[in-house]
Order: sequence, then C-alpha cells, then structure tokens
Amino acid sequence: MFIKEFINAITAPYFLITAAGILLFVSLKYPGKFYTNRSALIVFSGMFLFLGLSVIDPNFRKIVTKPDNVPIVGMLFLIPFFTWFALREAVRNDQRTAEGKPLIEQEETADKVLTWPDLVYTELICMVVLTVILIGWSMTLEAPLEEPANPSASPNPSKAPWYFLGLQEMLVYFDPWLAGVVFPGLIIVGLMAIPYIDTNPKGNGYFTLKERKWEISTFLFGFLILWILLVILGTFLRGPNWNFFGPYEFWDIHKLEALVNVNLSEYIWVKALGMGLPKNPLIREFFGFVAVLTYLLAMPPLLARTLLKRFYNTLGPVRFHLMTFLLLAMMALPIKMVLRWLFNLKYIIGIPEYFFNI
Amino acid sequence: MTSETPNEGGHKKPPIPTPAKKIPAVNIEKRGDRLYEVNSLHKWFAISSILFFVFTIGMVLADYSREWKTYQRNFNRLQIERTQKDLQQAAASLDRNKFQQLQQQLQQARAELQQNETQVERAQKPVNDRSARKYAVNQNYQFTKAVYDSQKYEYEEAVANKRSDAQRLGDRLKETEKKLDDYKAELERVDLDLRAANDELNKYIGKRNTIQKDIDTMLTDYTRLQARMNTLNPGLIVTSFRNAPVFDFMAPSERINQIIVNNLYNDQPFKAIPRVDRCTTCHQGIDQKGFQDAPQPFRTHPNLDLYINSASPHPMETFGCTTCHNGLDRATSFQNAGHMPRSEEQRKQWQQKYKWHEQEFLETPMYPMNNIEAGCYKCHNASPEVPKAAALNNGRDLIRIYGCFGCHKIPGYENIRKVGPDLSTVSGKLTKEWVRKWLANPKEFKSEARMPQFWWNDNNGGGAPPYDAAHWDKRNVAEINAITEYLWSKSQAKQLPPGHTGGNPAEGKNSPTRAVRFPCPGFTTG
Amino acid sequence: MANFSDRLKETFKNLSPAKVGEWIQESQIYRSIFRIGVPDSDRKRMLVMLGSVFLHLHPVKVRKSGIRMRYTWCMGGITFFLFLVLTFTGLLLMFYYRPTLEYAYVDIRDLREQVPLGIMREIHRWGAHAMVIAVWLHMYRVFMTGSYKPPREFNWNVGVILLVLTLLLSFTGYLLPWDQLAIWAITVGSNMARATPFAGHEGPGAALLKLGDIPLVSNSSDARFALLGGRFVGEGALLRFYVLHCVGLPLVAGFLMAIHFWRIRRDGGISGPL
Repeated sequence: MFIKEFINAITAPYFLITAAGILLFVSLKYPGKFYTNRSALIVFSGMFLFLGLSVIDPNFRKIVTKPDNVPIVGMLFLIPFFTWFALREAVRNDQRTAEGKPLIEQEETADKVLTWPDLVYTELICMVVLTVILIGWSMTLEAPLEEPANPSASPNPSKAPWYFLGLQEMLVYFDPWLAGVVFPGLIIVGLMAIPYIDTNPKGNGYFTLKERKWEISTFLFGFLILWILLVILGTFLRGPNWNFFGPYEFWDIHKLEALVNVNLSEYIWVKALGMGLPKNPLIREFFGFVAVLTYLLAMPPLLARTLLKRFYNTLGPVRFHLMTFLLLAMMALPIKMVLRWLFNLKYIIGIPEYFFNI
Repeated sequence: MTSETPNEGGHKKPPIPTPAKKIPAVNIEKRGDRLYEVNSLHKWFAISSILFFVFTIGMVLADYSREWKTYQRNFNRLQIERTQKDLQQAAASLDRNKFQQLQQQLQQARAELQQNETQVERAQKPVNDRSARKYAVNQNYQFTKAVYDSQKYEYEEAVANKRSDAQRLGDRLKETEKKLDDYKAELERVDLDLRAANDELNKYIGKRNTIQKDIDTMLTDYTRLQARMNTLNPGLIVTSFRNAPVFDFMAPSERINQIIVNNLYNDQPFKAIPRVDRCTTCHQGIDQKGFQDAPQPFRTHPNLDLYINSASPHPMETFGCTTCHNGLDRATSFQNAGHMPRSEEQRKQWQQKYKWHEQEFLETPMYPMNNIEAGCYKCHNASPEVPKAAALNNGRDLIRIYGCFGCHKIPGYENIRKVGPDLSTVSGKLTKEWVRKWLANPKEFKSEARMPQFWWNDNNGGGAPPYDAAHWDKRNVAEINAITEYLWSKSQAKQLPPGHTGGNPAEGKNSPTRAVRFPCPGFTTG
Repeated sequence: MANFSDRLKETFKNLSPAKVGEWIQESQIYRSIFRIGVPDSDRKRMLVMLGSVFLHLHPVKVRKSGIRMRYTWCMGGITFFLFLVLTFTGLLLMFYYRPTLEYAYVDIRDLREQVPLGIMREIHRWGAHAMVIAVWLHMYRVFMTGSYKPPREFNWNVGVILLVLTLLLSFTGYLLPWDQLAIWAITVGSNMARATPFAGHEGPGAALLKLGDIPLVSNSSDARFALLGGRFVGEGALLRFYVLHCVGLPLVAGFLMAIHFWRIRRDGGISGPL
C-alpha cells in the first residue's frame, strides 16, 4: 500500500520528467558505469518485476491491458533496450578507440559477403518470424471496437491516437497553435535539418558516444524525454480531464486539480508593480514580448560568444543560427514545464483575443 | 536486346546462363567469407517455418470453429432424435393387419399378372404403338399451329395497313386453318384409340395399381418423415464434407441465418442502420412448435400466437428479434449478443457456463426476461394501455400516480398535471417544524400520502450496517433542514383574498342551508 | 505400341524425386521464370541477385559489418515488411468495408461476427502499431550510428518524410472503424488544425484576415475544414480519410520508398566505418 502510494507520487509529471532527464544526462556523463550488461540485467528484471507485480492491481491492469495500449507496453521495453544496446556498443567502441584498436564494425568492414544467402536468407527468416508474431498477437488480443460513433457524446478522457499523445501532453503547457502545429512542424524541420547542421565528420557508420557526445545528448533528450516519455505519460498516467493519475490510481472523473495558473503579465503588473492590468494588450504583454524576443533573438549571439563558441567557429553563422533556433524551440518546452511547475505560470504572452498565447 | 540472342522462334532454350557442366556445389559453411553458418540458418528457417505453419493452421481453425456452429450441430442432433421418434411412432401406428392384407393382395395380383403374361404383352403392344402415333400427330398439329399463328399475324398486319396482298394472305391463312382442323380431328381420333387400348390393358394391371396406391396412401406419413430424416442426416461423409473448412463455401448446412428487417431501423447517432438479426442462427427452434421443452437456445417462443408466426400481429419476418428484445442484432455469439440475466443466480450461472460478462461498449443490451415488456413500449407508447403487458401497464400507472414526469421527461406525460402541490406560498400556510416532519416520513402523517420517503432508506441511513447510523442521521437532518430553509427563502407571503365586508351576520344566521352544504369545522348555527 | 509402353515402363522405373526435380528445372517454363536456377555456386549467387526484380534491391555483395543484426537491428526491413503485410491485409479488408456512416461500423462489427478470417483486421491494426514503433526504432538506429552523415543526408530526409507518412497512414486509418474511440481520437487530433496560425479559425492571426467586416477564415473555411471536409468529424471526413488511407498516402509512401531504397544503394549501401 505504502509502496503503491509512493509510486503514485513519484510518477507525477514534474518528478517523472525531471528525474528521467537527470538520469539521462548523468548516464551519458558516466556511460561506462551505466550501459553495462549488469545494469541492463538489473533494470530490465526490475521492469519485468514491476510490471508483473503491478498487474495484480485492478486499476493498473485496466489501463495496461487496454488493447490499444499493449503496443505501448511493448515500446516501454523496446526503447530502453535499444537505448542501452546502442550505448553499450558505443561505450565498447570508445574503449577500443582509446586503446588504439579498430572499432567493432571496422573489423569486418573490409570483408564483403554475398548477399545470397547471408542477407536474403536472414531477411526471409525475419519475415516468417514476424508473421508468426503478428498472427499470435492477433489471436490473443482482439482489436478494440467501442460504441458506434456519437458526435454528441464525448468520452472522458478523449485521447488522440497513442503516437500523438506527446503532442497532446504538450497541450498542458502550450496552446494548440504551438503544441499542435508549430512544434510538430519544427520537429519535422529539425529532424530534416540534422544532417546539414551536424558537420562533425566523426561517428559516421558506427556506434560511438565520445566522438559525438553533444549530438547524441541533444537527440536523446528530444527523442526519449520530450517524445517517448510524454507518449507514455499521456497514455498511462493521464485520465479524465487530462488530470494526472498515478499508475495505481482509479480514474475518477470527479478528481479536481487546482487551476491557479497565472500569466506573466499578472505577475509583473499586479503582483510586482501593484497596478491593474493595462487595457491595451500590447502594453499589457510588453514584458512577455521582451522575454520571448530576448530568448529567440538575444540568446543566439550570446551563446555564440559563450557556451557554444566552438560550434559558432566550426559551423559558421548560418548553420549556427539555424541550430540555435531549433535548439531554443526544443528547449522552450522543458523551460515552460519548469516555469509551470515552479511558478504556476500560464502564459508568457497571453493575448487570448487573437489566440496568441505563448 | 543483345545481338547474341536473336529471337528465332520459341523452341530454343533461352541461352543465357546455361552452364555446360554442372559446377559442384561448394560446401558453403566451410568457407571463411560467410557471416552466418548456412546450417544454422537452415535450422532457424526450419523452426520458424514450422511455427508459421502451426500458427496459420491455428488461425484457420480458430476462425472456423465458431460458437454458433456448435449450437447448430446440437440442434441438428435434436431434430434427428425427434424425427427418429416420430418415425417409430408412425411405424407403430400403422394398421398391421390391413397392411399385411394389402401386401398379400398385391402379391396375388402380381401372380395373376404373371400367369397372363402373353395376354398382357399383347395388350401392351397397341398401347405403345398408339402412343407413338399420338406423339407424331401431335407434333404435326403443333407445327401447323405455329405456322398458322405467324400467317395470321402477317395477314392482320396487311389488312391493318391496307396492303394489296391482304387478299392473298387471307386465302393462305384459310388453307392453313383447314389443315390445322384436320390435324386436330386426327389427334382426337388417335387419342380415342389410345384410350381404348389402355382400357384393354387395365383389365389386367388395374387391380395391381389400385392396391399399390392404397399402400402408398397408408405410408404417406412414414415416407415423409423418412425423407426428412434423409435431409437432416445425409450421412457423416456428406455432412462433414459440406461443412469442412474451405469447402464450406459451397453448400454448408451450418450457416448463419439472418432476418433483414427493412423498416425498423437500428437507431444510431445521426444515422438509421438497417437491422440484421442473426438470433435465429442459434435459436433455431424459436418458430417451430414442438420444442417447448427443448434446452435453450432451441426452445420454441412461448407465445407464438402473438409473435413470430406469420399470422400473428408481430411476424418474425417483419419485426425480427432485437426490435422487441434489444441486444446486438448482428452478433453470432452468446457474449456479443448482449444477453442479460434475469436474476443474480442466472448471472452467476452464465458467468460459469459461458464466461459471460456485461459488455462495456454495448449501448442496447437485451432486456432481462423480467423486464421484457419494456420492449413493447418502443412502439406502443401512444395508447394508454398495452394489451397483455401487465407489468408495463402497472409501471406506467405508478409513473402517473407518483408523478415521475415532474422531473424526468417522459413522452406521453407532457400535458398531465404535476403531482405535488404549489409550494410558492408554503411559509404562509405551514410551519417549518411541520415541513421537517413531513419530509422525514410523509406516511407517518398521512398513511396514504403519495410522496415517497427520501431519507432513512436502505441506502442512506435506514439500512443495516455498514451504514454508520450516526453519520447518516446527521446528514439527513442537515439535508432536511436545508430543504426547509430553501423553501422558506423562496416562499412568498400568502396573498389571501380580500375579506368580504358587506355581509350581514343576521342574514347568515337565518340561512342554515348554506351551512349544511358547506360544513365547516367550528361553524355552529347557534 | 509395345515400344511406347516399354518406354513408359522405363521412365517410371527411373523416376525419383531428384530426377523429377531435375526435369522440372530443365523445362522451358521453369527456365523462363527462374533464369539462374538453384544458386549453388558463387557465380549463380551473384546472378540471382542481378536477375530478380525483388532481389536486385540489394547489391550482389555487402559489407559484413553492415548486415550484422546488432548493427542494423533489422528495423528498416521490418518496417518495409510490415508495410507489405498492411497492404495485403488492407486490400482484403477493403472487400468488406464501406466508408459510409450507415455501414462503416457494422462492417467492422461483421469482421468479428461473420467474415471468414476476419482476424485480418487484428493483423492490420497490430501491424500498424508495430510499424509505427519499428519506424521510430529505425530512425533511432540510423541516428545513433551517425548514418545520416554525408553522403546520406538526402536519404535521411526522405526517411523523415516516410516516418511522417507512416504516422499519417496510421492516423487516417484510426478513423475508419467509426466507433467512439475512432472519431474522438480524430476529433482531438484534428482540433489542433483549428489553431493553425492564419489558416485556422482559432489560430493566431486568423482574425486579421478580413475583407472589411467579413472574416475570411471561419470554421467552415479553415485548415481543419479542409482536413475533415466538414466542420466536425462526419461522413465527409470518413470518406476523405478512407481515400487518403487506401490510395493517396500509400501511393506517396511507395514512391518515396522506391527513392529511399535506391538511394541506399547509390549512397554506398548500408553505412559503416570508413
């Protein structure tokens, strides 16, 4: 009972996201300690144990065994597994480089083998096995079919398809025009820009961490924390009214969360300056505009001179500014999250009259 | 197109890779430039292929073995049993003596025929000859008739168009008509001859035929049942072939039965969906008399005069099943159909027997049998009373008496006066204390009060533990007080009609008849 | 006659599976289909890769390190195979499904109740979920091995578009069962389009697009309307999603896949250390 409550408490979004982020960066700092066979054994047996014991709980079981959630449970294991696997390979490769030995891949690069049978045959086996898995999966789990569509009765919670739940989770922190349109667009643009921004010639065609620590850390933060983790959060831990529910908590429609979020303008005009809110939205949101513009326009040159100086030197201005813009856009989400968690900040710029809220 | 391989007709083998000698297969696993050992790949491939085979077979079998097929098989068995019983009964009810007698007579008649074999043969010959002759003449007649009809059309057409050859065509038609009459006469003649020949023959074989017919009449029932038996049970090979997986697309005996109800739609949001009732796939005896005592799902409908029969007011072909019963029309399994138990006991029984559970996503589960009359109300909602639906009528009476329509919108009750009194001036009439007492238990004050008791019921303080009596007492009292205060806060002062001032007390005293007509407590005529 | 029966006897006497196999392999029909025959020599193993339209997607020889399962995770191949599985099962499902308000739901219902091998729907749905995960993992692997680096930049971009297409295919297919799960997922998903800057009627800037007092962007002329073919998820949206799901998006995806595979070859095969 106590353990359940404890787990319910530590899966709260602010804790989960923060802890996962810290864990990720710490593990990347000391990869040799984290990405070993032993740690994998501990982590995965722990996960299986957690899942196995938790299924006893009816509330947990109800959410996890929903037919459409089963693939996400699978993903819950696959993504950490491949993360561990890729980084373990990277650690091994880095070790070999340090010792002056060739990479794991390099040992076999020179050898060429015939596609038939080595590749074609394995592909065939892979296809057959996959078909078997699909048939088995389909025989044990019926595809969901709920009540006939009724546009006048919305279920609570209404959830997007699971792979878009990361976006839906962003809606907690940003308005739809950002979370649903601008950010997805920037994700696509950002992914496509990666090969043009990343001019590091090293690490092409083999697993490595040391030679591309910056790229990998950024990507893993975006992919694992800001996408996969949010998908999992949105699937398993968001219930009616998009409220947070711990894994063992009953999805009570009547649960209420205090909505005490305040705009930046109110913080400054009302609380700090002790005045009323100005009528003109542009004046009212003046400080917000300053904050956002500073973030987007003043940060890049500042970063070019300080923290990211070496990138500015290697990438040149165009690549650098593109990279910092994408980076700043990505970091906007965790920054807004932290602001929300710490200060209940609702909007930095809030002009609901024109749907312009940031 | 390579110049070396011109296409010179199709006979030549394609010259592309034609090794002159067979190159011996290299033992591939012994070579260094391989990633995987081919033998281990073979092993993996074998294992996965076997798994694939097993899973595919499993998938097909799981798809093939559907719940409703078992029911149909059982019903078929039941029908065979019954038919067998009927057959035995039919055999038993035969008049043995009469049957034997007829059989003997038949034998006798046959023996006689054998004795007169030559005569019979002689009589048979003219019958055969004349039949042949009749056939030939009839054909002549038919052909001439066809010619006649076409000539008649041509003639009439010519006359109608006033063509010059009408006269000639008319003559031709007359000629043909004469020919036709001749053939007709001949046909009648030949027919008479044939009849005479038949009569001659019947002298010999007539007796046998009559006896045979008598025997057949006697066995009618038995033969019918035997034929039925043959269709029900055409033998194991036939049955298992026509119902075998894959082959069952041709003429399976196990098949889904469905009634497409054309005008009683399934109401879905914003769309009426045609109702396709598959209930009879399993409930096979529902429209047949004689299965009243059969186990479910084969039992006959308990009221065939009112439902199902085509002569009844609710024939199955036009109403289907789910129109009245609700449930999922297209379902083909016990669970999916949305069966609902009538009692806690049945619920447990179903859970054990069918792994039944209430369906989460079914909007219209079946009415449990004890609420079955609710289905009548779908159509019979305009008339004040539905015949033969006692529970429904009783329920509607209760609604009227207790005035449920005061808060719940119920069609048909829109224009009925609401049950409760007007409370807008309650404070001028009653005391708070009395209202509290009344609310706590109306029947205590007036035993025939219509207002139900809302507090200290089974589920809010009046029931057995685990209810915490002290807690509920406190809560109920608080609620009653709150309601009373609310009534008072909204209540207006009672506007009494202005008192009558122009009266004459003396006059009143002299008018005792009024006092008699409207007796008032405290009014005395003294 | 005797001659013929003798020959027949002779033939049967010498009959063995190996002989029959040989005879089949030397027949003109067989040779016209499988030019190379059983690839039991290196020469034939190469020819077979060149001669078959399916196999010629691969080069004749590959780098040993490049086809290690631990290097590729096989995720690209799995994604492609799932695409084929989905095409096949989807085609079968199209025989039984009508995209109208009247029939969409009951047709899906009938797949469960009555259609032979209605399990195709399960395979299709789970295959689709698996494909989304597989395509993510494929991207993950390609990033972690730095395989997007020159000369493979463009192919990475094609891959990103294919990933988006996979999500869109899954999204459009999600609506088709026409149950509560489907329409509300699509409603939530498509509500975002309402907030598109300038193009959505609840997006920032839309209020500025006006002709005098007449707003140009309203709930029946914005991005969401274009997506759904209506102001809410209705029959228009169902048909639109059906056509996109069954024809439009698969065609684009197939086209891009051809480019994707071609570019793998052109850009030097499966990546590896230089």
